[in-house]
Amino acid sequence: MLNKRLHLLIAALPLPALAQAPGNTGVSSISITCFLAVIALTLGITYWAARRTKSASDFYNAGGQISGFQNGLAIAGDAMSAGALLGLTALVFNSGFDGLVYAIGYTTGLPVVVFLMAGKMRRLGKYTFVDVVCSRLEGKSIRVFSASASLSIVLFYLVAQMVGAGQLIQLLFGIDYLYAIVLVGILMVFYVAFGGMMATTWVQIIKAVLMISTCLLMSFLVLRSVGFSFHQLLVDAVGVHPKGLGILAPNSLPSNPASGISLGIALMLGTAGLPHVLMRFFTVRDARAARTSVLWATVVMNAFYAMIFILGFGALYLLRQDGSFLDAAGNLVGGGNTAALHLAQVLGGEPLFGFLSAVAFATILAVVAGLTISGASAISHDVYGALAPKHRDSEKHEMRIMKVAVLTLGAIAIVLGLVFKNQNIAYMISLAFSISCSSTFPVLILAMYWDRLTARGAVWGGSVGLVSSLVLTVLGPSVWVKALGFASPVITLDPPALITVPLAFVLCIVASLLSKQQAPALQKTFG
Amino acid sequence: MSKHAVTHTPDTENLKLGICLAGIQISVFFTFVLYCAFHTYPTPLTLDNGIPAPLLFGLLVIGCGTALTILYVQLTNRQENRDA
Repeated sequence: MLNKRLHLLIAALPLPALAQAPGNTGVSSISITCFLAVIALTLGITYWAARRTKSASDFYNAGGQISGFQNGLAIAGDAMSAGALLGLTALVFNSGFDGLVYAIGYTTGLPVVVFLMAGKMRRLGKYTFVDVVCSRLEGKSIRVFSASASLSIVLFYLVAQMVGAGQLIQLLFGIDYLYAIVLVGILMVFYVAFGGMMATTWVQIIKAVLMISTCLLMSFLVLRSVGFSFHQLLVDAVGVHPKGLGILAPNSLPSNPASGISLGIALMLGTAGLPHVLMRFFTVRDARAARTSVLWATVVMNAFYAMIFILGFGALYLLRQDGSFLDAAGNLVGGGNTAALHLAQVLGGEPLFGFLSAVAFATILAVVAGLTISGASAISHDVYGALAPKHRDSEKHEMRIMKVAVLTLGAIAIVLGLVFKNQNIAYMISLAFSISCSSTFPVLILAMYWDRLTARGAVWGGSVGLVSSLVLTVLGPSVWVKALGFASPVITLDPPALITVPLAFVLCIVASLLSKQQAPALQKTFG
Repeated sequence: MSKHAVTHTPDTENLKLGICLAGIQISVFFTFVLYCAFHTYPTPLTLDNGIPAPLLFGLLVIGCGTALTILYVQLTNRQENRDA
């Protein structure tokens, strides 16, 4: 149950039919206009950024020229996905408080990043988090492991986003799934290959501003409808929901507390190990700006998640009160995840509906572009850099490899997006979070804070964390039962972070202590 | 390959403060998770006394993360300014 809900929240949503607002017979002309405006705006940004992208540093981290505030918006943009807005609102619409548990969980990762990691990471001033680990630990194996973990996380995340994106665009704008996937794939390759991190960051910033502004407007309109009283909104919501006061209390967590705690670990620590988020700390000029960027990201992101309280209960009350958005069985017309879009229709008619659809599209483009540049960097800078060290000093060569990596990743994402079209892709997101908190996070945090960590310990702990999170997720309810069709899961813990995170830490420590390698000096590297 | 500007500035990261605030953040969040998971909130829920406790606790977690982040960044950046 918990994992099913997690999937709803963090995947780009595979929405059932919602091409139009209720009562319309065709795709909204305002939606199409906004859709084209988003494409034109993002292509314009790419053209502008491409003229400023000359070196590998420009390409990987925008030359370190992004300000703390701008980077904060971009980090917040990474967190405010279409899945977060549509999925969380839908969860609150359906079951009230349970959806808010996830909104709350998402806000807890970034503070941990700034307290323990952001400044130290930026101080090393490299391109990817792999550089941070490898500045402390030497050897090809640790670089290849870190890059592989990065790529695994990015690929699972990217494919899930692509499939969700294809379905969402198909339904919002009436474009065939095949063309929708190819369109998203081409646009993301275009942004990253030509504009690099500069274009990716500005697309993310624009999207974050659009998203937070739209949510503010919608929250204002919801509160206006109940006399600007959140208490009154809850009273009204309780009055129209069959569960009554039950929507104000948690229902999922008490049914499986172990999975609830495991989910808490995955949400908090998974965020702290996501490569596309960590990479953003290298786009600012120094540690001070890195910390400032997390401050702004936290403020914007937490405001967004706090607004989910209003939007969720607003959708619950207004859509159930209106009634025209519900079918005979009491379900939302167009599928469960359409609550936010229907709410936009109720609050602002077709203009707001069309605008929110375009914001969702911009969100998808921004997220896949961020993932692509992170994955391509892992290939060109980390893997290729480790396997072909003789070319490491050639910037031109590395940029060429980077562009090939972007194209390859784009092609793979399109193909996998088509292959997984009808699959339950949501578990990939769960895998990405599980792998992140069980492999990259333990290695990174120990590399920063434990002076006896060796490369062998990091490779052992990180690899076992990666494999165990992969295997236990497959054996859990979301894959073993829902995707593979078995009657009951081998392991009920879902996600498996409660087991895999301690396992990864313990193995890192034990393998380091047993290793005959000399642990590199922590003081020298991290100060 | 030319690396972009590597800033080998002294580490002014306030380790004790960072660990202390991370501990508070983790404690507050997992207290909330346990509060929800083990059904320790006041029941039956009612709206007579304003917003119910689980919702308030959730908002407290969000507010706590924001406040601690602002506190840490302000203190650390100020210390970095002094040391510079």
